[in-house]
Amino acid sequence: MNALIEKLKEYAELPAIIWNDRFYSYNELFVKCNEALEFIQQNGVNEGEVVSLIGDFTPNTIALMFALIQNNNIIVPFNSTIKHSEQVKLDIACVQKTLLVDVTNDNYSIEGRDNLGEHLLYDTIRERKKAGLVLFTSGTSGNPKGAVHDFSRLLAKFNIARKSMSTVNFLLFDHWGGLNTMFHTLSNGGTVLTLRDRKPDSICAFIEKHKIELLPASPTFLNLMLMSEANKSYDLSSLKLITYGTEPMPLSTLERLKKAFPEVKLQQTYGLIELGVMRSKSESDNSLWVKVGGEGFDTRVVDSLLEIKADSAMLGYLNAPSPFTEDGWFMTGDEVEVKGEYIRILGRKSEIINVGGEKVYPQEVENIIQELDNIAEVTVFGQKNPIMGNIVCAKIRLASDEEKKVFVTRLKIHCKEKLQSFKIPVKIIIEDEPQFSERYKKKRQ
Amino acid sequence: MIDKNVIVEIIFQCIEDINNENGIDIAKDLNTKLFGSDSELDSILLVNLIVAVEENIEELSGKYIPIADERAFSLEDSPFKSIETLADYIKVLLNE
Repeated sequence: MNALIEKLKEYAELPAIIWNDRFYSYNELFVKCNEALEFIQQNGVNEGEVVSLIGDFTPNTIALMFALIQNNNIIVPFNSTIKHSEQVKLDIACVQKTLLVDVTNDNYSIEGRDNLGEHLLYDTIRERKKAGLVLFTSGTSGNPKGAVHDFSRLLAKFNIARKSMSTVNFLLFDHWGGLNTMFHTLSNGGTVLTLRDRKPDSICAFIEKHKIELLPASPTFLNLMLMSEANKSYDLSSLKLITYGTEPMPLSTLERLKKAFPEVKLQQTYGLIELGVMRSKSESDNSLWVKVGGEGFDTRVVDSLLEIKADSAMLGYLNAPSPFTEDGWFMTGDEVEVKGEYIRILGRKSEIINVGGEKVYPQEVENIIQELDNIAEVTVFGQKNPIMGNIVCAKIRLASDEEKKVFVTRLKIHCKEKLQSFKIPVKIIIEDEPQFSERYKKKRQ
Repeated sequence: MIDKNVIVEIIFQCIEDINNENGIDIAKDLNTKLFGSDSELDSILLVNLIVAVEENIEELSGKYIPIADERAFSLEDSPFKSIETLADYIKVLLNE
């Protein structure tokens, strides 16, 4: 951590953050870090305490994050609009104090909570005299699971200098993807560019305005951007790299993306809340085959399921059984295909639909449907059926009105050409509801 | 009250759709076998037909009636023998 703070001093007058259209230099950030540290210490935040930090990529939220790390606190980050449904996470994480940043003016305040912050995993972190980080995964059952990290393990990789590109902080503050981008940028003298709105049009305008080089995004967002053609209304020639992750990429979206951005390198990332973000190398720009791993990560495939051993792996879940094998490999639950050094992610094992004993990967069917015209979004899922065990269903949002019958016939004929009959959706539901979350990630049922 | 003829028409319409989507030619005939060794429909096509009929009946009557459930399969006289037996069975379900 001290190395990171030292770096802030080193970069001095370089712009560290653009927030609300104003530049903040590394010197200013350094001063804010010291003020934040003083603030938390004066307000009785003791080393080892569990503190939630509610904010966004604002100068003071970032400064408070650095201060809490320096003070060896266990940090639980939230986006500023903490939803009612998220309150339960404060209890799961046994949060003792809450730091709240007002993202309109960047002022902050502190509140105590009635909790002792006791958990066996926290004891480990306190014994190590390190900072901790708690991140939540939504889990397939919908119950959030809290992953406890030794923060120093996650930060270790930022000691190695790498090239920093000007990057949009598209991914959110409460997930490792967003924090990873932020730490990478700041440890390499780049500028954290913060957004208030993640709509395709706003992002494209932002890229043009700030001559952004790297756009880390989700496949859902990229699909919506291409659909809306927002990319055509702005000069995006500064872009050098688009990375995509957080959910599987449909091949058709990838191909359209390559066509729209022929000069831009496209790279898949593979990150997990439990492990951190791995370095990855796509076989080619329009290929879903990817080599994952890199320093600090080992991978193996057991019964088609990907397992990973990582130096930066979490200690465990606060409220769920250990997902590690006895010899310390994390069971991702992702089913993969292997080709030499490359893997292709087929989808979550838990999402596979079993139709009369045959396996159907929702992703495969979604890819085929996405090839049709007039599809804004599609989500494929299984439904119980007395004859086949399960049937394949597809929920579709059309880009523009089309008579259901005409559409269904078109879809079925297209699927019949590309898919075995048991994979073709039996039930087709057409809905106007968007199928993505605030993270621009597909909402699975 | 939905008339049996209306139900038969719905089934015929669904069969026509399935024929078009799959490039096949299942006869729109009351005696067409739906299930069993001499049926022209494999299990996937049968599932497609049943789901389509359920959707159309729901559209018409305003209520969802599960046609293929455990009860349908436990009947001694299978309602899936032919289009006619299926129409009779749906009529019974609609009257309940």
